[in-house]
Amino acid sequence: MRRYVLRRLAQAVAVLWAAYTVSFLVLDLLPGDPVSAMAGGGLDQAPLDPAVLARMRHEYGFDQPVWLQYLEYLGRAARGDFGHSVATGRPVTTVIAEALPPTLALTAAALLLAVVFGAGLASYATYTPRRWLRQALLSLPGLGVSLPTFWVGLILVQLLSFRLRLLPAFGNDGLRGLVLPALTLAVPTSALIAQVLAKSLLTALDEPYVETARAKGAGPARIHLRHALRNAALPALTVVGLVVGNLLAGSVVVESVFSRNGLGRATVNAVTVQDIPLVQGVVVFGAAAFVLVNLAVDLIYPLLDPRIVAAGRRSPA
Amino acid sequence: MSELLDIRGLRVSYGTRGGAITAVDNLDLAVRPGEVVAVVGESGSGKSTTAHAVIGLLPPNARVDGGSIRFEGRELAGASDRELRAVRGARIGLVPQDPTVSLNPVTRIGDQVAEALRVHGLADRRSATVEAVELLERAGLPDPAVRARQYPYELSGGMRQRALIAVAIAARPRLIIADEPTSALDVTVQRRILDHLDALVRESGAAMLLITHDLGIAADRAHRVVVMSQGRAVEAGPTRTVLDVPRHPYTRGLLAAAPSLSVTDRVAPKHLPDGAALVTVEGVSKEFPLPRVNGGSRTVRAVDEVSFDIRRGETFALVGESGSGKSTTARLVLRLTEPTAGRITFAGADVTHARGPALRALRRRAQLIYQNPYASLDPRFTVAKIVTEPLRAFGVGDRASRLARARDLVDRVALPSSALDRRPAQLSGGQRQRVAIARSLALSPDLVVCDEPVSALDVSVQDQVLRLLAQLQADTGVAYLFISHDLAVVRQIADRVAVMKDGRIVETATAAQLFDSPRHEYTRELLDAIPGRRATPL
Amino acid sequence: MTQLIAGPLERDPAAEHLSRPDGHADRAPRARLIRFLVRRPGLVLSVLVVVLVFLAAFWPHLFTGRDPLLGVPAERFRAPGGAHPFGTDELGRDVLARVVHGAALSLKATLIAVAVAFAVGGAVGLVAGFVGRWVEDALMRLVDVLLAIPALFLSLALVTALGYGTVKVAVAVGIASVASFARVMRAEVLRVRQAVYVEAARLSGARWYAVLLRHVLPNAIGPVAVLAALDVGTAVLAVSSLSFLGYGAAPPAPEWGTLISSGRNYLANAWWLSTLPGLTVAATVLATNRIARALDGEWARHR
Repeated sequence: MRRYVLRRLAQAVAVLWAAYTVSFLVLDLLPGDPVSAMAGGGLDQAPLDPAVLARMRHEYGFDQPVWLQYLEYLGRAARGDFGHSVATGRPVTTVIAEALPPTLALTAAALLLAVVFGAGLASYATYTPRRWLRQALLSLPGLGVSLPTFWVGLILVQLLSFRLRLLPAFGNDGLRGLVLPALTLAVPTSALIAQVLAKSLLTALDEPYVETARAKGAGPARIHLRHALRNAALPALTVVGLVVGNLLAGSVVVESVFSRNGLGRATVNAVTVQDIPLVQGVVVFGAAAFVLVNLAVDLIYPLLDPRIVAAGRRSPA
Repeated sequence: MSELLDIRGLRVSYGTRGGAITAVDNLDLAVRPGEVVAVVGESGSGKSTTAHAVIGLLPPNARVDGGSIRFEGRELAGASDRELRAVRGARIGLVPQDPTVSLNPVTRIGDQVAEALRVHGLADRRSATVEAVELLERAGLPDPAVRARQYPYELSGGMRQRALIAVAIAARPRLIIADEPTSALDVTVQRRILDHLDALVRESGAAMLLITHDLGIAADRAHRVVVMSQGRAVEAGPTRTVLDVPRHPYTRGLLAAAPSLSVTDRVAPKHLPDGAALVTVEGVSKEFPLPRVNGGSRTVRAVDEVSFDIRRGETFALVGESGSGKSTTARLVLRLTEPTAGRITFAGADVTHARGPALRALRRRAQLIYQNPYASLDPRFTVAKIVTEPLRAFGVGDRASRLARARDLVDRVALPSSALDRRPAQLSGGQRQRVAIARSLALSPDLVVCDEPVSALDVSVQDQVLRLLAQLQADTGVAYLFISHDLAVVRQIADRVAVMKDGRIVETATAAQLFDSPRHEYTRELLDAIPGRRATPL
Repeated sequence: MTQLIAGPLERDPAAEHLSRPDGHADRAPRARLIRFLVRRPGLVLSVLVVVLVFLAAFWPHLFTGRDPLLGVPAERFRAPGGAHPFGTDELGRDVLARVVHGAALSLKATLIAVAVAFAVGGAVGLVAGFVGRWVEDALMRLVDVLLAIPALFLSLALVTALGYGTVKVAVAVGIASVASFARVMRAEVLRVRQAVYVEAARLSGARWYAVLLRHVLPNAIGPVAVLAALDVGTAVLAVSSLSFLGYGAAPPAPEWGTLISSGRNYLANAWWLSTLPGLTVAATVLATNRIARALDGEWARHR
């Protein structure tokens, strides 16, 4: 078990390092002069004095060989220093830390809604003996993943805020303000969870061990919960790990639709003014969040499936 | 005596897109208390469907169209799910087909046995746990208390089947349905488990409905036999009567084809083992690395200093249970894996480490027929393309002459020439294996390795394919290295036999010597385990 | 074929209880196709939607005679009706004309994105799966990293570096999907490479390139093609998200995401401005997903 944990930890660190490297390659090496872009504060402003540009190049180390720049930046990043935002001059880590709380609230709420709706729908759809109801319920997830998130947000605002005046349409204020954005963000995610869980539930219900349980005289509820769901939960859990990154990224769109402050809003602003250090910080943070969540999922996994830890120890006969 | 189970005029059909397909047609079957009744048939005969109809576990697209299933005087056909649940497990126990997938992988063995008691309210949580251990012990599982706390993946196939037997007998049912209970297991394990199941059934006074494709098993275990074909019972009666004086032609065909019951009937004429050696294998070993544990690397010896030779034109058989190393040995001969030690020569040339041109020369002269004919044929290729692929690879002939050769080969394996344009999915299992045989003969090789070539086929098809192999050998003088777990099949075709166990050859002898006077104890054990030996004295 | 799509499975338990027919009962292929389609009205509708989108992209004048850029000030904010089925916007432009003409831009971006993902991801996966050893390790670690970075973040980083515009957004979206294509391609190559029939071909004397071209690639490409079909929907959504955020085509151009975005300012009084272009996007994605599902095994199972 300790080996398993250590191996997963080492993998997580390696992925983070590589994510930093990829973002460095994308942002610092692709065509385009970062300094003039940064100094110009965007694509559509007047060019600056060449002497100023040269000084800035030196300050940011862009006059050095690429690999030296990389090592320098990597060393700083390892100590938690991702440089300063070009637009505001404040440390990238501070900007992210400040923007994070509302986004965390949003993604956590959305994840909760998504798991409850997704798992509930999949479980009930595969349980009900009524064929038409099952078909109808199982077609919902396919619809959910096909709708553009921002459009769902706009429709919800139109219906619930403008027509029915139930909930506020915009802004960060309180729990009521969280409902619509979280609902919007939860739609595609719950659809994804429902799809995967329904599929693995149907597969599990077809397994011979379910027939064994039926032959014991077990009732449908017992078979569904004790046998099928316990086995089907494993792939669904993996998906929950995978969607957390999407939720975080989805906050970019949702915060923009609902004019909420948060990490997504900050990212949009950073991209618009080509604030390279901040964009890089966000990318690495996204990867870190993804890695952390999946680390947690990996550690929960052995509790649900006894075969996982053993896989490293013995080969199945 | 009144019947425990009385099936009258049962009809079951499956709804498919092509319309309804009748799986069981007007079946009559009765089981008396304490009696063992075997239902024998090939795949698709409806025997499994019958078993599932009895406990109301038919798949959703299946329907009971008519007839009655009376059990202990109650009608089960058309009974509600609630009524059936009270019968399942409590009055009728099921021993399923494949023990490796029939236990819930994430639940402890003991809990799964206890569940059978708990759902019928026969025990509370605490007493169920205790009783589960007792049941596992009765099912013949060693260390039952330890096993009860383990998960299925920690048990071997045989142990899992014992756990499933414990589940089936838990509530002391009056009828046990065993659906091919041992077809997924090695023969020696199969025998021990059937013996144990027999004893348990007898001591509890329950009856057993034994579903099997193996006439030998039915002959050994059942009081009465029902032979099914295409959904109908073609013959039924006391075991001895059915086997000794079969009346229906289908039963006669089945009996003639069943390798375990037809002792004298060899499909191949015996060769005199005096040909020159084609292949010699000297002290060959193969080690596989095991997954690393705590930094240390370990290896497992799959093949351990094996020596034998194969003479031109003969059939040399390697026999053993799963894990004995027989398939790995075959792959070593074909140079599909690198030996760890030893020396292999083919037609006088050392091919132990052959590569490049020498390896291609070997490929041209040694071919392989796989166990699963479907997996070994590219699903996208037509039969013509499959059969001519070796010719193409070696640049033999032009397109037209290759096609002519394909026509000839397909004809030789007794397939119609219309088969040339078909794809594997459009052929039956036996036809697919014929295509694989045609491909292996395309280059007129000296040696064909047959790796369990008939074990995926029904017995009547098995017989046809074995006869074809023998015929082709007589025509072309090809030598076979015949790999099999089934001594009964080997007896029909092999000239010489080597018995493998744990990577070693324990005995090599001519077929006659080996079957008449086996010297090694393990060989005797294997011979004893062949089903049908009790019924037909050798 | 591997199931790529999580969805209700059509099961056929009879297959396990009955022996397979020998396949001599071949029905005429056309009759079979018609039967297949008649039982799936949703699929027929989906094909129709995709055909309409293609027609709109290449021959927009089939659907509308109006100029998507020309506003008629007197007809501002007309609700959907006879003259303007999708209504008009704040400058009096016909929304239907804008949606129809936008199809070309959105379709172009989508196809570029899918092509980039398919070509790059497929190549990476093929090399990794067929070459193996350290090459595979290195490539797949890279793929793991790309998977760890949320797709939209990766696209945004690429947009930051490359700049704005339909093509650049399309490339950014494509790169973000490279990882999943590489994974599926590698998995398929590994699966096929271990298939018994590939070993049988090797034993028949076929050389490695013949094995690769004749057996591995044709048998491995199916699931990757299905993924490509599935990725069309994903790409439509991703491209429209990025143009909604304002990184796509410059404002007057009628890209779908931009249309939805510009309509949001008039949500309260002109609901159709965002709703109808959004419905168009949703219908397109639904249709392509439905077709992808049909490709993924439904047809194969039907046969």
